[in-house]
Amino acid sequence: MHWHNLIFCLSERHDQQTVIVALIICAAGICIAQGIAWGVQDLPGAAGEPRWLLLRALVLGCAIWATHFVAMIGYLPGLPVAYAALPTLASLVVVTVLIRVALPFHDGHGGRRARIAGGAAIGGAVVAMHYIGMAGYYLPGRLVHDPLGSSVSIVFGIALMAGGAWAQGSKRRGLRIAALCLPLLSVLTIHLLGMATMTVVPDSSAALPLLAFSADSLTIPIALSMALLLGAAMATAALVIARHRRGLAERKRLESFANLALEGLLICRDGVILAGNHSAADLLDTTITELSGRPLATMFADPMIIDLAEAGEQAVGLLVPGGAIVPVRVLARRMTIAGANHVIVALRDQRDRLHTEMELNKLANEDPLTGLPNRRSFANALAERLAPAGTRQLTLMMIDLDRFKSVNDTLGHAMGDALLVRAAERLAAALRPGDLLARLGGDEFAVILTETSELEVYDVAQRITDTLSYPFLIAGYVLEIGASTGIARAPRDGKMPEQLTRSADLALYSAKDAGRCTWKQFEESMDGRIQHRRHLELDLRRAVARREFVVHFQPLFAAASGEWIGAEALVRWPHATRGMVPPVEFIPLAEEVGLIGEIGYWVLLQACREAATWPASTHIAVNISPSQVATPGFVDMVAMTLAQSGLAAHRLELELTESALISDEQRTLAVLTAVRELGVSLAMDDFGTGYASLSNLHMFPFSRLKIDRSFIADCTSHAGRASLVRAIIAMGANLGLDVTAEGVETEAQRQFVNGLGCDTLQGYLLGRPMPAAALHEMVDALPRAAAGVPLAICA
Amino acid sequence: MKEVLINFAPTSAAEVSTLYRLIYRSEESITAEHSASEELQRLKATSAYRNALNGVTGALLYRPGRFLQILEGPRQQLELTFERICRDRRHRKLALLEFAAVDHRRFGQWAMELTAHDPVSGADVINLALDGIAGEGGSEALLDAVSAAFDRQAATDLTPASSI
Repeated sequence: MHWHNLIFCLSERHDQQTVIVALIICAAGICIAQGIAWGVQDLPGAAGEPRWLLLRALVLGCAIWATHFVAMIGYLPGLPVAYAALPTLASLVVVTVLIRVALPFHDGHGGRRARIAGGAAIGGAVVAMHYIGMAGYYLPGRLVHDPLGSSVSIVFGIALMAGGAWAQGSKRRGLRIAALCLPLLSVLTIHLLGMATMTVVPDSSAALPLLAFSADSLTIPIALSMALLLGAAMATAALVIARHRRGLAERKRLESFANLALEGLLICRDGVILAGNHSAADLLDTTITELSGRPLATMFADPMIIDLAEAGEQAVGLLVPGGAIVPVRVLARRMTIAGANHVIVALRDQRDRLHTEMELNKLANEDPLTGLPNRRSFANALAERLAPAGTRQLTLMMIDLDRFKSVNDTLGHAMGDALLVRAAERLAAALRPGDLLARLGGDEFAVILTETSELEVYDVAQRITDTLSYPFLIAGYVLEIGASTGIARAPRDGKMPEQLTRSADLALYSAKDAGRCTWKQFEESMDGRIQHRRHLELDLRRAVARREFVVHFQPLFAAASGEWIGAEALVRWPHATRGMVPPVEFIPLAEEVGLIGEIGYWVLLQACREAATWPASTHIAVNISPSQVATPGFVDMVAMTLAQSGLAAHRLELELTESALISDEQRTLAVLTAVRELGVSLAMDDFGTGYASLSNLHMFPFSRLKIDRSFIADCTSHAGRASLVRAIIAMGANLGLDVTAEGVETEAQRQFVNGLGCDTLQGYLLGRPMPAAALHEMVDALPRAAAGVPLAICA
Repeated sequence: MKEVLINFAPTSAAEVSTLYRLIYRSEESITAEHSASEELQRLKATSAYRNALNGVTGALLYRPGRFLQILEGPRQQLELTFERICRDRRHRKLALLEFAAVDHRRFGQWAMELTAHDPVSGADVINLALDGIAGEGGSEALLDAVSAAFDRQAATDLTPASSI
């Protein structure tokens, strides 16, 4: 090979302008391909994407192929030439495919050696393209390749390409750009040196292939299509890369913004974390870099959380390294970033809040001194353990330290507190597992024992008493206090918390009365009210047996005429020691213990007998209790009493309160209707204090309405009450009922209800309840057929 | 009714390490699940070790069902030890016989134990104390009697008199 051949080849055998066009195509292809590579390399995940590799391979392959053919067109062997179609096209496919395969290595994913190997492979692809292409080059003659020259061009070409690839691994930008001339040189070396070391031996016998392109027909289409291809590739790549960069910049801005947030924020796409802020990284005890790429689902303790964006804010556990779970509230929102769907997940750390809540809860439910449950949580625990009421067996102990106050007073609160702490510890040591000890305040403690035998209860109580009776040695002092304990057992001593607590308290008082440092079990005798009730019941039974009751009569007068029209019978119990016991005290008890029937019958009989002695124009009103109405045979009893006393039925009026009507309405209606059929009339008593229901007045056969005394008492001083009384009177008149005002005590009240058209009056102003004899005296003193204002009579 | 304070302020209440002596007697709880000797072994093992650590020495006298213990040591340690004993369910009818500052230890640096299965001859004071009855001469007489009993026991070599 001679060097002058190369010069000669370039200057004489080539059309220099065409060679320059080829050079430009090659340079443009290399630059665009490398530009795409640079453009995508810092887009996350894009550099290795097949579409970019394919585009670069196409650009490079086509450019090198076009370079070759344009340069061949510029080659002037002095003979007519043609190109066989198959090798020509095959060379394009081969170079593109080979470059595509070699590019990932060339990009250096396997290190420097892979990079050099990749470059060499691309050089090899150029060589392959060149010689396959030459195989399709036909002219009347033979092409003779100088082996040495070809070898040199191939080796240099491949070396230059490898060098170019190696240079792209450099950190220096200038070097990388400068190194772009290496692949260009490589292509030129392979082509031009290959051509220069080739000789054409003319041979007119050589035949052209059937399918061939003429040189002239190729020039313009190749140049144009190459320009179009390269231009389109460049434009597409530029657009796509720009969009990606914009997205990246947007996300970067979002990230730096997110880092200002206190809440943990994660940007996710398709269930994978792309980025997170510092707060999120801190929360998960990791770094921002480690966060990205993790699947979102692996962060949550609960694997059931699938679509966060669909759910609202929710409480979840976050898995952190080391197996701990951080409680967070999580909220997710969909968001479009650079045209793609993302999910932004916000994580709010709940540890501080939960801790605060726990502290608050502790403050609310715990005694700060002893750490025991306080009164509040004790009350809750008791209610909880007693429910459902009446079925649970448990024991409640109320414990009071004896002589604690004197320690507190003489030695100060600090000593008192120390003593309380020690006492609490001794109490706790005296209990069994599962027993609940609470400090109710001051020197009061309480214990709940569940599922205990009586013996065990006594055992615990004795232990408590003993252990607290031992001296306390604090700061050199010997403090002797002791404790009194009251015991109540549910359900026997109370089914409800209040009742049980009361019983235990009563037992505690009893223990204190018994000289302290002891325990007492609740007994009914400790309860004054129970005691009182029991005595009253005994007395009542005796009174019923001995007919110790008396009936008093309170007169009723016609409001308009002042005429005496009758009286209400009122039972009284003159008790040897209690004095006159009012009905409100013994009637409920009589109802409860089943004595009401007997008392009611006796009262009714006495009242009817008395009324039978009165003028026929008068009536007698007798109160009937709800349980009497409910007693079978009530109607017969009334009829029998009337017969016994000889009183005309229409002169008897039975008074009922509204409460008598509410239970078993149908039965009550039947009973009252039957009573009405006897000729006896019915009065609604104490109207206004119960339900004041109009439908009751409609439904039941009442003939009288008695306005409760509380309304009359206020009617002259209270405007609201006055209008109510007015309304009741008007309503009674509308229903055709006789309206009686009860409890008329002053002249003003009398005039007020008179003015409203009230029919009858009853009250202290006109006459107190009095014995039968006194009533006789009173009516005898009344002016006969008195008209106008009646005299005010005071019994 | 007892006074709130049966043994008024020692000379220096703040001085927690002042040497004190504490004597108490108690009965073995009848509800105890273990036999008396087992219980005694347990009591010895736990309390002797802890007492030795805390600078508490003394003597434990035992007759079936009855304990009498003399403890000497820093005031605060004695207070804590006594509190533990009060919380211990194995004791009942516990009575504090003495708690006072002392000049020196009567029971040296060893935590000692004397088992009196039979009435200790010539030591009526001890038996009375175990029964909860204060003999004549008060706690001084009791301490003398206990000392003497230990000396006798050591001399006749009946049982190992000291243990830790």
